[in-house]
Amino acid sequence: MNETLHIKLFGMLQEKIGAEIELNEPVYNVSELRTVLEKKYIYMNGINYLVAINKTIAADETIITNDSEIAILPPFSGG
Amino acid sequence: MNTTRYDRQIKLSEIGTEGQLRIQSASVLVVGAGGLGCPVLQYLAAAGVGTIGIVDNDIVEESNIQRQVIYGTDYLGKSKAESSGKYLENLNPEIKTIIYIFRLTQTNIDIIEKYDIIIDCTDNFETRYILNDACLQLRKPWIYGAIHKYEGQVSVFNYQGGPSYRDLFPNKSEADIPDCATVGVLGVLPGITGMLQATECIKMITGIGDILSGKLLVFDMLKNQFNTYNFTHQYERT
Repeated sequence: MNETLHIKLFGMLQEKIGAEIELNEPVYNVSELRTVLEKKYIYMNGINYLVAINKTIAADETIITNDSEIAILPPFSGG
Repeated sequence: MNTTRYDRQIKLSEIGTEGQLRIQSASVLVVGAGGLGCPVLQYLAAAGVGTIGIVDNDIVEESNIQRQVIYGTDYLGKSKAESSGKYLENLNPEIKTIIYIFRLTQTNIDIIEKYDIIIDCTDNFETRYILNDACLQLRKPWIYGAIHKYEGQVSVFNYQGGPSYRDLFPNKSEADIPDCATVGVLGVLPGITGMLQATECIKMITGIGDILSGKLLVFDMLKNQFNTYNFTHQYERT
C-alpha cells in the first residue's frame, strides 16, 4: 500500500484538474488508480487518457508503488 | 541534383550524397496544410524531398495566419493545398508537388498507397483514426503530431512493425477533446511540433538516428519540459 502519490497531468486534464495532484487513497495498480481518479474527478469520465508509470505507458495491471512516477496523458486534437 | 542547394546537409557525414539521393527519391504525403503542415512542408521541400503530396480542403482564413506561416494576407480565401503547393514550387523547383483538394476520408484514403511516409498534420480525431487504420493495412509508417495550447505530442506509428496510434488510444474519446479553435494555441507551438515531425521524416528517409517508434514525445513549452514515454503493442491487430 502506498502513502501520498504525486501525479502529473497534461493537456486538458491539467487545465481542469491541475498540473500536479496528490492522492492519499491506497491504490495497488493502474486499474485501481483509474477508478479512484474517475470517482474523485468526474471530468475524467468519458475521456481517454494514458497512465504512464516511470516513463512507460502502463497497462491496467501495472503495480503502483510509493516511488512510482505517475503521469496522466490525454490525447491532443489540434493541428 | 543541385548539390550546392543541399551542401550543408550533404556535409553531414551521416547523410552525405547517398542520403541526399534517398531524400530526392522519397515520397511523403502531408495530410493537412495548416499549423503543423506549414513547417513540415517548408522543411521537407527545402531538404529536397522528391515528391510531396498535400491534402487539404480548407481555404486560408485570417485567424490562420498567426501560426500558418506559409500564408500571407494576400492568400486569404485561397485554397491551402494549392497555395502551399505554389509556395513550395518557388522554395524548391527541383521537387514535385501533388495537390489533393479534399478532406481525407474512407473513400479517398487509397492515395496513401503511392507514398513512402505519411505525416499527420490534421486537426481532428476522425481523420487520424482513418489514417492509422489505412496505414496499418497498407504497412505504411506515419508521423503523428498533435497540440494543445502550449503542449505538443509527437510519435511515429507503424514503423517497421512498431505500435500504432490505437496502441495508445484504442478508440476515440466519448467526450470532446477541445481543438485550437476552442482553447487557442501559441503560434510557435505547431511550428515546433511540425519541425519535430519533419525531423523524424528526414531521419526515417536517410536511416539515421533514433526514431520515435514506440515512444511518445510530450512537451510543454511554458515549462520547457520534454518527456518521452515508452509504449508497446497493446491493440490486437486483425
